[in-house]
Amino acid sequence: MPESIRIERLCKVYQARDGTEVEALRGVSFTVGRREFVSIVGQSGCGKSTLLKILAGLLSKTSGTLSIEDQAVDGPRRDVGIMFQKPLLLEWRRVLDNVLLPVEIYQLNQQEYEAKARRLLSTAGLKDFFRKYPWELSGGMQQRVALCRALVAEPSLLLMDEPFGALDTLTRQKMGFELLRLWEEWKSTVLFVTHDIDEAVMLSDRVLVMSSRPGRILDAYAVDLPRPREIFAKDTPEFIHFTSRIRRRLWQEATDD
Amino acid sequence: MTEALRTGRVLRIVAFYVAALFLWEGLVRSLHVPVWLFPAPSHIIDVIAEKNSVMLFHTLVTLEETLLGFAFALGLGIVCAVGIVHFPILRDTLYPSLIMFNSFPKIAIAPLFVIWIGVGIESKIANAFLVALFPIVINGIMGLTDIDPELLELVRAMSKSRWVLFWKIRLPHSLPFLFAGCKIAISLAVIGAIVGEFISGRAGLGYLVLSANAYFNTAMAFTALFYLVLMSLALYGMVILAEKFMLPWHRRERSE
Repeated sequence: MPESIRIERLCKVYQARDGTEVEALRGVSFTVGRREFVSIVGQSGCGKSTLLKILAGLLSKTSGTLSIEDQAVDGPRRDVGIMFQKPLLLEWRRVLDNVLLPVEIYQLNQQEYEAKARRLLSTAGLKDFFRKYPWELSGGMQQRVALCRALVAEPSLLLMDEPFGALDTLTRQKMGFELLRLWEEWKSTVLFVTHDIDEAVMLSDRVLVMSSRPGRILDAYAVDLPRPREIFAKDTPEFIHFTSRIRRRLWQEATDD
Repeated sequence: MTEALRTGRVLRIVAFYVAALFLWEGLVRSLHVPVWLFPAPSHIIDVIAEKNSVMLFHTLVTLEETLLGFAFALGLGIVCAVGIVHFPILRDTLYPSLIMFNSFPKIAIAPLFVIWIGVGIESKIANAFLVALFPIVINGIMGLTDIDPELLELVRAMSKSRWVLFWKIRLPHSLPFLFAGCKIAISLAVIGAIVGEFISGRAGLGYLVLSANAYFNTAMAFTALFYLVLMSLALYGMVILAEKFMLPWHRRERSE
Protein backbone atom coordinates (compact mmCIF):
# COMPACT_ATOMS: atom_id res chain seq x y z
CA MET A 1 0.00 0.00 0.00
CA PRO A 2 1.41 3.47 -0.90
CA GLU A 3 2.03 5.60 2.16
CA SER A 4 0.26 8.80 3.09
CA ILE A 5 2.05 9.43 6.38
CA ARG A 6 5.42 8.14 7.52
CA ILE A 7 6.64 9.06 11.00
CA GLU A 8 9.92 7.83 12.40
CA ARG A 9 11.24 8.31 15.93
CA LEU A 10 9.36 11.56 16.31
CA CYS A 11 10.11 13.43 19.53
CA LYS A 12 8.65 16.65 20.81
CA VAL A 13 9.84 18.57 23.82
CA TYR A 14 8.40 21.96 24.54
CA GLN A 15 8.94 24.67 27.10
CA ALA A 16 6.08 25.01 29.55
CA ARG A 17 5.14 28.48 30.75
CA ASP A 18 7.12 28.09 33.95
CA GLY A 19 10.27 27.29 31.95
CA THR A 20 10.38 23.55 32.61
CA GLU A 21 10.73 21.20 29.68
CA VAL A 22 7.81 18.91 28.92
CA GLU A 23 8.34 15.80 26.86
CA ALA A 24 5.15 15.39 24.85
CA LEU A 25 6.17 12.70 22.37
CA ARG A 26 8.94 10.12 22.63
CA GLY A 27 10.05 8.09 19.65
CA VAL A 28 6.74 7.87 17.86
CA SER A 29 6.90 5.78 14.70
CA PHE A 30 4.10 4.63 12.44
CA THR A 31 2.88 4.80 8.90
CA VAL A 32 -0.56 5.35 7.48
CA GLY A 33 -1.45 3.99 4.07
CA ARG A 34 -3.11 6.09 1.42
CA ARG A 35 -6.89 6.13 1.96
CA GLU A 36 -6.55 4.31 5.21
CA PHE A 37 -8.67 5.32 8.20
CA VAL A 38 -6.47 5.25 11.29
CA SER A 39 -7.48 6.23 14.81
CA ILE A 40 -5.25 7.10 17.73
CA VAL A 41 -6.68 6.44 21.18
CA GLY A 42 -5.14 7.52 24.43
CA GLN A 43 -5.75 9.37 27.67
CA SER A 44 -6.20 13.11 27.59
CA GLY A 45 -2.90 14.92 27.66
CA CYS A 46 -1.01 12.02 26.06
CA GLY A 47 0.23 14.11 23.15
CA LYS A 48 -2.33 13.08 20.53
CA SER A 49 -3.16 16.68 19.72
CA THR A 50 0.50 17.64 19.66
CA LEU A 51 1.12 14.91 17.11
CA LEU A 52 -1.73 16.16 14.95
CA LYS A 53 -0.53 19.75 15.15
CA ILE A 54 2.96 18.70 14.07
CA LEU A 55 1.44 16.92 11.09
CA ALA A 56 -0.61 20.00 10.28
CA GLY A 57 2.57 22.08 10.25
CA LEU A 58 1.42 24.15 13.22
CA LEU A 59 4.14 22.95 15.60
CA SER A 60 7.74 22.07 14.92
CA LYS A 61 9.18 18.71 15.86
CA THR A 62 12.17 18.32 18.17
CA SER A 63 13.70 15.33 16.40
CA GLY A 64 12.80 12.46 14.11
CA THR A 65 11.42 12.51 10.61
CA LEU A 66 7.94 12.87 9.29
CA SER A 67 6.58 13.04 5.78
CA ILE A 68 3.21 13.35 4.11
CA GLU A 69 2.89 11.96 0.58
CA ASP A 70 6.67 11.43 0.55
CA GLN A 71 7.41 15.07 1.30
CA ALA A 72 8.98 16.19 4.56
CA VAL A 73 6.54 18.31 6.59
CA ASP A 74 7.86 21.83 7.11
CA GLY A 75 4.68 23.87 7.40
CA PRO A 76 1.02 24.01 6.42
CA ARG A 77 0.08 21.98 3.35
CA ARG A 78 -2.71 22.59 0.93
CA ASP A 79 -3.62 18.90 0.70
CA VAL A 80 -4.23 18.52 4.45
CA GLY A 81 -7.62 19.26 6.00
CA ILE A 82 -8.05 19.69 9.74
CA MET A 83 -10.97 19.52 12.12
CA PHE A 84 -11.12 20.21 15.86
CA GLN A 85 -13.54 19.41 18.66
CA LYS A 86 -15.11 22.85 18.32
CA PRO A 87 -16.72 23.66 14.95
CA LEU A 88 -14.86 27.00 14.80
CA LEU A 89 -17.21 28.43 12.21
CA LEU A 90 -16.94 32.11 11.31
CA GLU A 91 -20.09 33.58 12.77
CA TRP A 92 -20.23 36.42 10.24
CA ARG A 93 -20.40 33.99 7.32
CA ARG A 94 -23.33 31.97 6.16
CA VAL A 95 -22.99 28.19 6.07
CA LEU A 96 -22.00 28.00 2.39
CA ASP A 97 -19.43 30.78 2.74
CA ASN A 98 -18.00 29.07 5.81
CA VAL A 99 -17.43 25.92 3.78
CA LEU A 100 -15.77 27.97 1.05
CA LEU A 101 -13.17 29.52 3.39
CA PRO A 102 -10.35 27.14 2.32
CA VAL A 103 -11.27 27.72 -1.34
CA GLU A 104 -10.75 31.46 -0.83
CA ILE A 105 -7.53 31.02 1.10
CA TYR A 106 -6.08 28.61 -1.46
CA GLN A 107 -7.44 30.82 -4.26
CA LEU A 108 -9.14 27.94 -6.05
CA ASN A 109 -11.80 28.28 -8.71
CA GLN A 110 -14.75 29.75 -6.81
CA GLN A 111 -17.51 28.52 -9.13
CA GLU A 112 -16.28 24.98 -9.43
CA TYR A 113 -15.82 24.60 -5.70
CA GLU A 114 -19.08 26.27 -4.82
CA ALA A 115 -20.84 23.46 -6.66
CA LYS A 116 -18.67 21.04 -4.71
CA ALA A 117 -19.53 22.72 -1.41
CA ARG A 118 -23.25 22.52 -2.19
CA ARG A 119 -22.92 18.81 -2.98
CA LEU A 120 -21.02 18.16 0.23
CA LEU A 121 -23.52 20.06 2.36
CA SER A 122 -26.41 18.23 0.69
CA THR A 123 -24.77 14.89 1.39
CA ALA A 124 -24.36 15.95 5.01
CA GLY A 125 -28.10 16.67 5.21
CA LEU A 126 -27.75 20.46 5.20
CA LYS A 127 -29.48 21.16 1.89
CA ASP A 128 -31.85 23.72 3.41
CA PHE A 129 -29.21 25.53 5.45
CA PHE A 130 -26.86 27.06 2.85
CA ARG A 131 -27.97 30.60 3.68
CA LYS A 132 -28.18 30.21 7.47
CA TYR A 133 -25.75 31.70 9.95
CA PRO A 134 -23.88 29.29 12.27
CA TRP A 135 -25.83 30.36 15.37
CA GLU A 136 -29.03 29.18 13.71
CA LEU A 137 -27.67 25.60 13.67
CA SER A 138 -27.44 22.95 16.38
CA GLY A 139 -24.04 21.77 17.62
CA GLY A 140 -24.16 18.62 15.50
CA MET A 141 -25.08 20.58 12.38
CA GLN A 142 -22.29 23.06 13.02
CA GLN A 143 -19.83 20.21 13.26
CA ARG A 144 -21.11 18.82 9.95
CA VAL A 145 -20.47 22.21 8.36
CA ALA A 146 -16.95 22.08 9.79
CA LEU A 147 -16.52 18.63 8.23
CA CYS A 148 -17.64 19.92 4.84
CA ARG A 149 -15.20 22.81 5.19
CA ALA A 150 -12.38 20.38 5.95
CA LEU A 151 -13.26 18.33 2.87
CA VAL A 152 -14.10 20.99 0.29
CA ALA A 153 -10.58 21.52 -1.04
CA GLU A 154 -10.24 17.75 -1.48
CA PRO A 155 -7.44 17.08 0.98
CA SER A 156 -5.52 13.87 0.52
CA LEU A 157 -5.18 13.72 4.31
CA LEU A 158 -7.81 14.64 6.88
CA LEU A 159 -6.63 15.26 10.44
CA MET A 160 -9.38 15.09 13.08
CA ASP A 161 -8.83 16.00 16.73
CA GLU A 162 -11.72 14.53 18.74
CA PRO A 163 -14.12 16.05 16.23
CA PHE A 164 -17.28 14.67 17.84
CA GLY A 165 -16.11 14.89 21.44
CA ALA A 166 -18.51 17.69 22.36
CA LEU A 167 -21.63 15.97 21.01
CA ASP A 168 -24.09 13.71 22.83
CA THR A 169 -23.68 9.97 22.32
CA LEU A 170 -26.41 9.52 19.74
CA THR A 171 -25.45 12.52 17.63
CA ARG A 172 -21.85 11.44 17.92
CA GLN A 173 -22.61 7.98 16.52
CA LYS A 174 -24.67 9.44 13.70
CA MET A 175 -21.84 11.83 12.85
CA GLY A 176 -19.43 8.92 12.79
CA PHE A 177 -21.47 7.15 10.15
CA GLU A 178 -21.87 10.32 8.16
CA LEU A 179 -18.13 10.74 8.23
CA LEU A 180 -17.73 7.18 6.96
CA ARG A 181 -20.21 7.81 4.16
CA LEU A 182 -18.38 10.95 3.07
CA TRP A 183 -15.05 9.22 3.44
CA GLU A 184 -16.15 6.33 1.24
CA GLU A 185 -17.17 8.86 -1.37
CA TRP A 186 -14.14 11.18 -1.21
CA LYS A 187 -11.57 8.62 -0.13
CA SER A 188 -8.91 10.63 1.60
CA THR A 189 -6.60 9.33 4.29
CA VAL A 190 -7.99 9.98 7.76
CA LEU A 191 -6.04 10.27 10.99
CA PHE A 192 -8.62 10.40 13.76
CA VAL A 193 -7.77 11.21 17.37
CA THR A 194 -10.22 10.17 20.07
CA HIS A 195 -10.42 8.80 23.59
CA ASP A 196 -13.56 6.81 22.76
CA ILE A 197 -12.53 3.20 22.05
CA ASP A 198 -15.92 2.21 20.55
CA GLU A 199 -15.77 5.14 18.20
CA ALA A 200 -12.23 4.29 17.13
CA VAL A 201 -13.07 0.64 16.39
CA MET A 202 -16.32 1.50 14.65
CA LEU A 203 -14.69 3.90 12.22
CA SER A 204 -11.16 2.67 11.64
CA ASP A 205 -9.12 0.27 9.56
CA ARG A 206 -6.48 0.43 12.24
CA VAL A 207 -6.37 1.67 15.83
CA LEU A 208 -3.14 2.89 17.40
CA VAL A 209 -2.95 2.94 21.17
CA MET A 210 -0.89 5.73 22.64
CA SER A 211 0.67 5.85 26.09
CA SER A 212 0.26 8.71 28.50
CA ARG A 213 2.91 11.41 28.44
CA PRO A 214 5.44 11.18 26.97
CA GLY A 215 3.35 9.76 24.15
CA ARG A 216 4.52 6.57 22.48
CA ILE A 217 2.66 4.15 20.26
CA LEU A 218 2.06 1.07 22.44
CA ASP A 219 0.23 -1.13 19.98
CA ALA A 220 -1.61 -1.19 16.70
CA TYR A 221 -4.79 -3.17 16.04
CA ALA A 222 -5.95 -3.89 12.50
CA VAL A 223 -9.75 -3.79 12.62
CA ASP A 224 -10.83 -6.16 9.85
CA LEU A 225 -14.56 -5.73 10.37
CA PRO A 226 -16.51 -5.60 7.09
CA ARG A 227 -17.47 -2.30 5.50
CA PRO A 228 -19.78 -0.51 5.24
CA ARG A 229 -20.02 -0.56 9.01
CA GLU A 230 -23.34 -0.28 10.76
CA ILE A 231 -24.38 0.51 14.29
CA PHE A 232 -25.45 -2.97 15.36
CA ALA A 233 -21.99 -4.29 14.59
CA LYS A 234 -21.26 -2.92 18.06
CA ASP A 235 -23.09 -5.85 19.62
CA THR A 236 -21.16 -8.51 17.72
CA PRO A 237 -18.42 -10.61 19.36
CA GLU A 238 -15.96 -9.50 16.67
CA PHE A 239 -16.46 -5.85 17.61
CA ILE A 240 -16.22 -6.53 21.31
CA HIS A 241 -13.11 -8.59 20.68
CA PHE A 242 -11.36 -5.44 19.48
CA THR A 243 -12.75 -3.00 22.01
CA SER A 244 -11.95 -5.21 24.97
CA ARG A 245 -8.37 -5.83 23.81
CA ILE A 246 -7.80 -2.12 23.32
CA ARG A 247 -9.45 -1.29 26.62
CA ARG A 248 -7.22 -3.82 28.41
CA ARG A 249 -4.11 -2.37 26.77
CA LEU A 250 -5.02 1.17 27.78
CA TRP A 251 -6.00 0.13 31.28
CA GLN A 252 -2.80 -1.81 31.77
CA GLU A 253 -0.80 1.22 30.70
CA ALA A 254 -2.82 3.63 32.81
CA THR A 255 -2.40 1.58 35.98
CA ASP A 256 1.27 0.75 35.42
CA ASP A 257 2.65 3.81 37.13
CA MET B 1 -42.36 39.60 19.65
CA THR B 2 -45.87 39.73 18.22
CA GLU B 3 -47.31 42.87 16.65
CA ALA B 4 -49.89 43.35 19.41
CA LEU B 5 -47.31 43.07 22.18
CA ARG B 6 -45.05 45.56 20.41
CA THR B 7 -47.84 48.11 19.92
CA GLY B 8 -48.77 47.73 23.56
CA ARG B 9 -45.21 48.43 24.60
CA VAL B 10 -44.89 51.49 22.37
CA LEU B 11 -48.18 52.81 23.74
CA ARG B 12 -46.97 52.39 27.32
CA ILE B 13 -43.74 54.25 26.61
CA VAL B 14 -45.54 57.14 24.88
CA ALA B 15 -48.13 57.32 27.66
CA PHE B 16 -45.37 57.51 30.28
CA TYR B 17 -43.65 60.47 28.64
CA VAL B 18 -46.87 62.35 27.92
CA ALA B 19 -47.92 61.86 31.56
CA ALA B 20 -44.50 63.06 32.77
CA LEU B 21 -44.79 66.22 30.65
CA PHE B 22 -48.25 67.01 32.04
CA LEU B 23 -47.07 66.39 35.59
CA TRP B 24 -44.12 68.75 35.04
CA GLU B 25 -46.39 71.45 33.58
CA GLY B 26 -48.92 71.00 36.37
CA LEU B 27 -46.32 71.16 39.15
CA VAL B 28 -44.61 74.28 37.76
CA ARG B 29 -47.98 76.09 37.40
CA SER B 30 -49.53 75.06 40.69
CA LEU B 31 -46.39 75.82 42.70
CA HIS B 32 -45.86 79.12 40.83
CA VAL B 33 -42.24 78.32 40.07
CA PRO B 34 -40.71 81.38 38.34
CA VAL B 35 -39.67 80.74 34.73
CA TRP B 36 -36.04 81.79 35.35
CA LEU B 37 -35.78 79.01 37.95
CA PHE B 38 -37.50 76.12 36.23
CA PRO B 39 -39.49 76.63 33.01
CA ALA B 40 -42.55 74.53 32.18
CA PRO B 41 -42.81 72.51 28.95
CA SER B 42 -45.08 75.18 27.53
CA HIS B 43 -42.32 77.82 27.93
CA ILE B 44 -39.91 75.58 26.13
CA ILE B 45 -42.40 74.98 23.32
CA ASP B 46 -42.77 78.75 23.00
CA VAL B 47 -39.02 79.19 22.63
CA ILE B 48 -38.85 76.36 20.08
CA ALA B 49 -41.62 77.97 18.02
CA GLU B 50 -40.00 81.37 18.13
CA LYS B 51 -36.31 80.48 17.83
CA ASN B 52 -36.28 77.24 15.87
CA SER B 53 -33.99 78.52 13.09
CA VAL B 54 -31.48 79.95 15.59
CA MET B 55 -31.58 76.66 17.47
CA LEU B 56 -31.01 74.67 14.33
CA PHE B 57 -28.04 76.86 13.41
CA HIS B 58 -26.37 76.18 16.76
CA THR B 59 -27.27 72.50 16.61
CA LEU B 60 -25.56 72.21 13.23
CA VAL B 61 -22.40 73.81 14.63
CA THR B 62 -22.23 71.28 17.49
CA LEU B 63 -23.15 68.45 15.13
CA GLU B 64 -20.33 69.36 12.78
CA GLU B 65 -17.78 69.47 15.62
CA THR B 66 -18.98 66.16 16.99
CA LEU B 67 -19.07 64.33 13.67
CA LEU B 68 -15.66 65.56 12.54
CA GLY B 69 -14.10 64.72 15.90
CA PHE B 70 -15.71 61.29 15.84
CA ALA B 71 -14.67 60.62 12.23
CA PHE B 72 -11.03 61.48 12.95
CA ALA B 73 -11.16 59.32 16.09
CA LEU B 74 -12.62 56.41 14.14
CA GLY B 75 -10.03 56.65 11.36
CA LEU B 76 -7.00 57.09 13.57
CA GLY B 77 -8.40 54.69 16.17
CA ILE B 78 -8.60 51.85 13.67
CA VAL B 79 -5.11 52.60 12.35
CA CYS B 80 -3.74 52.62 15.92
CA ALA B 81 -5.49 49.36 16.83
CA VAL B 82 -4.28 47.54 13.70
CA GLY B 83 -0.76 48.93 14.19
CA ILE B 84 -0.58 47.94 17.87
CA VAL B 85 -1.81 44.41 17.11
CA HIS B 86 0.62 43.84 14.24
CA PHE B 87 3.82 45.65 15.23
CA PRO B 88 5.55 44.76 18.52
CA ILE B 89 7.34 48.12 18.51
CA LEU B 90 3.98 49.93 18.63
CA ARG B 91 2.59 47.48 21.17
CA ASP B 92 5.47 48.32 23.50
CA THR B 93 5.46 52.07 22.97
CA LEU B 94 2.17 53.47 21.70
CA TYR B 95 -0.10 51.08 23.61
CA PRO B 96 1.19 51.82 27.14
CA SER B 97 1.14 55.55 26.37
CA LEU B 98 -2.47 55.29 25.27
CA ILE B 99 -3.43 53.34 28.40
CA MET B 100 -1.64 55.88 30.56
CA PHE B 101 -3.28 58.79 28.79
CA ASN B 102 -6.68 57.12 28.98
CA SER B 103 -6.64 57.05 32.77
CA PHE B 104 -6.11 60.80 32.71
CA PRO B 105 -9.10 63.21 32.59
CA LYS B 106 -8.60 64.24 28.99
CA ILE B 107 -11.11 67.06 29.19
CA ALA B 108 -8.60 68.95 31.37
CA ILE B 109 -6.50 69.51 28.25
CA ALA B 110 -9.32 71.43 26.58
CA PRO B 111 -8.06 74.91 27.60
CA LEU B 112 -4.67 74.10 26.08
CA PHE B 113 -6.28 73.42 22.69
CA VAL B 114 -7.48 77.02 22.72
CA ILE B 115 -3.87 78.18 23.07
CA TRP B 116 -2.61 75.76 20.45
CA ILE B 117 -5.27 75.93 17.78
CA GLY B 118 -7.42 78.92 18.64
CA VAL B 119 -11.01 79.64 19.57
CA GLY B 120 -12.54 78.40 16.31
CA ILE B 121 -14.26 75.13 15.55
CA GLU B 122 -10.91 73.30 15.36
CA SER B 123 -10.34 73.24 19.13
CA LYS B 124 -13.81 71.71 19.65
CA ILE B 125 -13.13 69.08 17.01
CA ALA B 126 -9.83 68.32 18.74
CA ASN B 127 -11.68 67.92 22.03
CA ALA B 128 -14.31 65.60 20.58
CA PHE B 129 -11.59 63.62 18.82
CA LEU B 130 -9.51 63.20 21.95
CA VAL B 131 -12.27 61.78 24.12
CA ALA B 132 -13.69 59.57 21.33
CA LEU B 133 -10.36 58.01 20.38
CA PHE B 134 -9.78 55.70 23.33
CA PRO B 135 -12.89 53.53 23.30
CA ILE B 136 -12.32 52.93 19.60
CA VAL B 137 -8.67 51.94 20.00
CA ILE B 138 -9.26 49.76 23.05
CA ASN B 139 -12.28 47.98 21.56
CA GLY B 140 -10.53 47.66 18.22
CA ILE B 141 -7.54 45.94 19.82
CA MET B 142 -9.83 43.61 21.74
CA GLY B 143 -11.79 42.73 18.61
CA LEU B 144 -8.64 42.01 16.61
CA THR B 145 -7.08 39.78 19.26
CA ASP B 146 -9.82 38.21 21.38
CA ILE B 147 -10.19 35.26 19.00
CA ASP B 148 -10.37 31.54 19.82
CA PRO B 149 -6.74 30.34 19.55
CA GLU B 150 -7.92 27.15 17.84
CA LEU B 151 -9.59 29.21 15.12
CA LEU B 152 -6.27 30.95 14.54
CA GLU B 153 -4.61 27.54 14.30
CA LEU B 154 -7.22 26.33 11.86
CA VAL B 155 -6.48 29.24 9.56
CA ARG B 156 -2.71 28.98 10.06
CA ALA B 157 -2.96 25.34 9.00
CA MET B 158 -4.19 26.67 5.67
CA SER B 159 -1.99 29.71 5.24
CA LYS B 160 0.90 31.37 6.99
CA SER B 161 0.00 34.76 5.57
CA ARG B 162 -0.80 37.43 8.18
CA TRP B 163 -2.66 39.25 5.43
CA VAL B 164 -5.09 36.33 5.02
CA LEU B 165 -5.53 36.12 8.78
CA PHE B 166 -6.24 39.84 8.97
CA TRP B 167 -8.78 40.08 6.16
CA LYS B 168 -10.56 36.76 6.66
CA ILE B 169 -10.58 36.56 10.45
CA ARG B 170 -9.29 39.47 12.51
CA LEU B 171 -11.05 42.33 10.74
CA PRO B 172 -14.54 40.81 10.49
CA HIS B 173 -14.19 39.49 14.03
CA SER B 174 -13.37 42.97 15.31
CA LEU B 175 -16.43 44.72 13.83
CA PRO B 176 -18.91 44.04 16.69
CA PHE B 177 -16.27 45.22 19.18
CA LEU B 178 -15.60 48.28 17.05
CA PHE B 179 -19.30 49.15 16.95
CA ALA B 180 -19.51 48.78 20.73
CA GLY B 181 -16.61 51.25 20.91
CA CYS B 182 -18.35 53.60 18.48
CA LYS B 183 -21.49 53.68 20.62
CA ILE B 184 -19.42 54.92 23.57
CA ALA B 185 -17.29 57.17 21.40
CA ILE B 186 -20.15 59.04 19.73
CA SER B 187 -21.65 60.02 23.10
CA LEU B 188 -18.24 61.06 24.41
CA ALA B 189 -17.62 63.12 21.25
CA VAL B 190 -20.74 65.18 22.00
CA ILE B 191 -19.42 65.85 25.52
CA GLY B 192 -16.04 66.84 24.07
CA ALA B 193 -17.61 69.31 21.66
CA ILE B 194 -19.86 70.84 24.33
CA VAL B 195 -17.00 71.29 26.81
CA GLY B 196 -14.98 72.92 24.03
CA GLU B 197 -17.82 75.36 23.46
CA PHE B 198 -18.06 76.08 27.20
CA ILE B 199 -14.43 77.12 27.20
CA SER B 200 -14.19 79.24 24.09
CA GLY B 201 -17.39 79.00 22.08
CA ARG B 202 -18.87 81.56 19.72
CA ALA B 203 -21.59 79.23 18.52
CA GLY B 204 -23.07 75.82 19.21
CA LEU B 205 -25.46 74.40 21.79
CA GLY B 206 -22.87 74.46 24.58
CA TYR B 207 -22.21 78.12 23.92
CA LEU B 208 -25.98 78.72 23.85
CA VAL B 209 -26.56 77.04 27.24
CA LEU B 210 -23.78 79.11 28.77
CA SER B 211 -24.90 82.48 27.36
CA ALA B 212 -28.58 81.80 28.16
CA ASN B 213 -27.49 81.02 31.72
CA ALA B 214 -25.64 84.31 31.96
CA TYR B 215 -28.91 86.19 31.21
CA PHE B 216 -31.03 83.93 33.43
CA ASN B 217 -32.82 82.88 30.26
CA THR B 218 -33.46 79.42 31.66
CA ALA B 219 -36.16 78.57 29.10
CA MET B 220 -33.57 79.12 26.35
CA ALA B 221 -31.02 76.94 28.17
CA PHE B 222 -33.61 74.17 28.51
CA THR B 223 -34.46 74.45 24.85
CA ALA B 224 -30.79 74.14 23.92
CA LEU B 225 -30.60 71.02 26.09
CA PHE B 226 -33.66 69.66 24.32
CA TYR B 227 -31.97 70.03 20.92
CA LEU B 228 -28.83 68.50 22.38
CA VAL B 229 -30.75 65.43 23.53
CA LEU B 230 -32.34 65.04 20.09
CA MET B 231 -28.97 65.39 18.40
CA SER B 232 -27.26 62.84 20.68
CA LEU B 233 -30.10 60.37 20.21
CA ALA B 234 -29.97 60.79 16.44
CA LEU B 235 -26.20 60.20 16.40
CA TYR B 236 -26.52 57.11 18.59
CA GLY B 237 -29.34 55.86 16.39
CA MET B 238 -27.14 56.28 13.33
CA VAL B 239 -24.45 54.07 14.86
CA ILE B 240 -27.08 51.42 15.68
CA LEU B 241 -28.45 51.59 12.14
CA ALA B 242 -24.99 51.28 10.63
CA GLU B 243 -24.36 48.27 12.87
CA LYS B 244 -27.59 46.57 11.82
CA PHE B 245 -26.77 47.22 8.20
CA MET B 246 -23.16 46.05 8.37
CA LEU B 247 -23.53 43.17 10.82
CA PRO B 248 -26.76 41.41 9.91
CA TRP B 249 -25.35 38.25 11.49
CA HIS B 250 -24.67 39.76 14.86
CA ARG B 251 -26.03 38.58 18.23
CA ARG B 252 -28.31 41.58 18.63
CA GLU B 253 -30.61 39.96 16.07
CA ARG B 254 -30.67 36.68 17.91
CA SER B 255 -32.92 37.58 20.78
CA GLU B 256 -36.05 37.63 18.62
